[in-house]
Amino acid sequence: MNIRSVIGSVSRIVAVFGALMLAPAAVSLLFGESDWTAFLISSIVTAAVGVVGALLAAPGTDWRIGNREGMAITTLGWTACALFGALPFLLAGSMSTPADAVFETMSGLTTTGATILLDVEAQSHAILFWRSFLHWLGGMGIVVLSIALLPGLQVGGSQLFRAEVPGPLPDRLEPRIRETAQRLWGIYTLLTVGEAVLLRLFGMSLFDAVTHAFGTVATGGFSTANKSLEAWNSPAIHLTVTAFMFLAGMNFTLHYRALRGNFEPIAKDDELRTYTGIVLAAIALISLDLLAHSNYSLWNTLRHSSFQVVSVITTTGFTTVDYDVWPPLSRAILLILMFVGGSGGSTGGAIKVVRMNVLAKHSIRELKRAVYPRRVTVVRLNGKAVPEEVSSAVLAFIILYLSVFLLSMLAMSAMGLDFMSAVGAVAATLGNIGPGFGLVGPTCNYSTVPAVGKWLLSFCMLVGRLEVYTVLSLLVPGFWRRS
Amino acid sequence: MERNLDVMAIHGNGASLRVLEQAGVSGASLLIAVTDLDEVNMLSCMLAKQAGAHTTIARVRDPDYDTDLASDGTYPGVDVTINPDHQAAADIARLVKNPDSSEFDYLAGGKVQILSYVVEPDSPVAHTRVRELNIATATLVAILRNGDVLIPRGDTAILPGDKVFVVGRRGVPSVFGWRAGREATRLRTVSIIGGSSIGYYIARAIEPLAAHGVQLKLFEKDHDRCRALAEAFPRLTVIQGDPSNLEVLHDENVESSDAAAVVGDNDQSNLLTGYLLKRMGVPRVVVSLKRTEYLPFTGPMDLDATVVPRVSAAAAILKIIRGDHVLSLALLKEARAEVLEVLASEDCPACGIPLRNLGVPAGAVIGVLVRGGQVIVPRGDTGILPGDHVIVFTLESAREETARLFELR
Repeated sequence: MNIRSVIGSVSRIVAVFGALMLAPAAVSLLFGESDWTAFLISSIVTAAVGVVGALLAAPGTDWRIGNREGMAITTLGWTACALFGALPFLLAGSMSTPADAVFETMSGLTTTGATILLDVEAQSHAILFWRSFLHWLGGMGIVVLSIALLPGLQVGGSQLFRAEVPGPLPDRLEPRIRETAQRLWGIYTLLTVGEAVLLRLFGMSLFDAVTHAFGTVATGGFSTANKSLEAWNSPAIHLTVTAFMFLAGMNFTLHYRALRGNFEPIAKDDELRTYTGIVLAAIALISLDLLAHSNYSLWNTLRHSSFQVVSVITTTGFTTVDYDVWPPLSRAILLILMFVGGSGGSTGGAIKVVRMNVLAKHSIRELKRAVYPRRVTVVRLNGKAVPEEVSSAVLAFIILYLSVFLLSMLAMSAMGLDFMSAVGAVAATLGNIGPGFGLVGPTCNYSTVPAVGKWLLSFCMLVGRLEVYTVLSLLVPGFWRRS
Repeated sequence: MERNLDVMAIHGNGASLRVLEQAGVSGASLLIAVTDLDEVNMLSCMLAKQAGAHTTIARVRDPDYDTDLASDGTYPGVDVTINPDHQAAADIARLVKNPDSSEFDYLAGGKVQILSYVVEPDSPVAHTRVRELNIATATLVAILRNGDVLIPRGDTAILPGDKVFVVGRRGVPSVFGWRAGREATRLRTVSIIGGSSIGYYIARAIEPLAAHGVQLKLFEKDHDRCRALAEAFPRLTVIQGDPSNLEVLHDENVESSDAAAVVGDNDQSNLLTGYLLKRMGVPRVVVSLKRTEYLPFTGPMDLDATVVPRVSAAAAILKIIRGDHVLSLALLKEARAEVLEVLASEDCPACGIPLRNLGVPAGAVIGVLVRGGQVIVPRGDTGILPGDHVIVFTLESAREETARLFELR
């Protein structure tokens, strides 16, 4: 373990993050609000800590970043950003306890969208912007952003890249990792701008359009309204958000190919087919369930079911309706979707469709092997063989993910949450969705969760966003040993 | 080398420009590079070509260097790449795919077929004389009896156990095939025993059959090789197990295969496995052998065909050596007989003379002519015209004399 390079790299990420805090300060000034000082002070403190840390670690430093350093930098970088990002909330007085502020920041950065705020609409524009901006930074990843912006990180960049980008098989778009990071951020920005323009056209204010575009493309879920997207009773806005949530839940490599005019891999992509299939099947089932057991019109059934299905599977967490009052089958389907998640290489969270693909194919293969023990077959994805190591890593991922889920659920139950609330809270934070069921359902929020529970759920969000291995490997004995 | 063969040997690295020049490569009409190293072979071809050699042939065995034969792609400076295993696999795949014949080759761009049949004791043609056969659409060109190749004359009798070779328009000889006593079977299951490079190439050649509902099984001992084959061919059923273990073969129901290719690394176990499969009732069994010594003894084993990669490769090389007039060439057995496809030139000495007056040597038969796309089964009064494709069957002993008729090199 090269501690100096870890400290140096984390400090650089913190410095970048500190500079980015000037954006909400500018928003505050623009709207003539008084809390710009809170953001300015936070920005100076954060940037100063980052610069000092980088300078302390820098002289004559060996900048090699191996596998372990990559995971350490990513986990610690995220933790540091969640802590420093909480400063403005505390200084501006919108939150009183560190547990609340860190929960909210972590929820923003990890694109979860779970909030402890009782009244969102009472907050200043700067605070609301900061929440959505955290989504946007965390969606594509602050480490990937640092690689794209800063020189010096790209040497070990591929280790960092792998530690942060979701999915079992991250694609390299360009031979150089820095260019790959820049391409990804380019596509991401393009989608955000596109959505903001459309939302503005369909009647949102510019501020709401931008913040919701941040929340959608990052699959975050923070809204500027207490009732989330229900506050805008506009089919055009709901359809636009549905469409962009779906796009954000796709593998960004496919967007890159599409922008290059190469549509063939998109038409043949196994994961995209499964993702689309799951979405359509879930919409159909929920629509039938709603038509049978509730009194929505056909149009509203389709509108709400498609919005809610896409919102949950992409782990965004926007709502157009309180799905917690839906019939049991619909809620069960949504709970399952919370575990499925978006595609690998997307901004979505949870287990990811591609892992479900590998899991299903692997299980069928093992089933066949019970019948024909001598036959050698290969698990294929997009026609290419999936190496055995990747298959077993996927299985281990799912087991670890479910273990974290079960243990956290036990802990939440011990804190007194009822069963459905405990299940919902952990599934929704570990999967980076946001609203869960029961006490933490769409109409409620996480303010009633005890402080210990908030810290635990913050940890769950980080574990979910960095895909389990990156965080849990820090706990492996020997991880911190030198060399 | 010089003691055993009538050649001049030069000791040195074949990829060295100095050694190549010492060998007079700049004036060479042909360079054949057949060392064990693919890269050396290709490099010496490239160097020789640049130095002025007319034609270059390299043996290239690694599938990574394999150029797609269909697209005629090849490396610069290398006119032809020869891969013995690939050639052998192509031969075996053809044998497997065409259940009507034992060994055959398509000639004249696919218009003409050479087919062979084993005459069963209950066949209607058994014990008849050649002149009594009434086949207007094909020519009987050879009989293989007890390991000897006979050129049939009018009074030659066909005996049970003979393997007869006919040349004719593509498709037509199957009529004769039925009369020879063998019925066509539809392929349902094909087994490949052995997953080394021949097995790989066979799998590649016949995998498209799987789209037509044919089940393809491949048996291989080595797990890594099984995995590589399973990765390369999604439709191939790869079975990890020792094919010489009967339990493995029974478990996978290999006896119900319609055809099997035995292409393991060991000649002895190939022969034994081939024999076992035949006894278990597999209708068509093709065996590949590395060496030719065992060939004379395979007759009683009842194998449908044996393929030797070296012989397959030799046929391909000979075709190039024979020059531009020879369009395609198939070798039977260990080059004791060949089927030539010759393009009759303007000044060909055989042109214009009725065949009965041509003086075709006793060891040769003119099979068919292809004139303007039409396949003609020649009679005694037919004459060869310039531009005809002539399919000639000749024994080794008559090759020189036959060559003179058409002015072959």
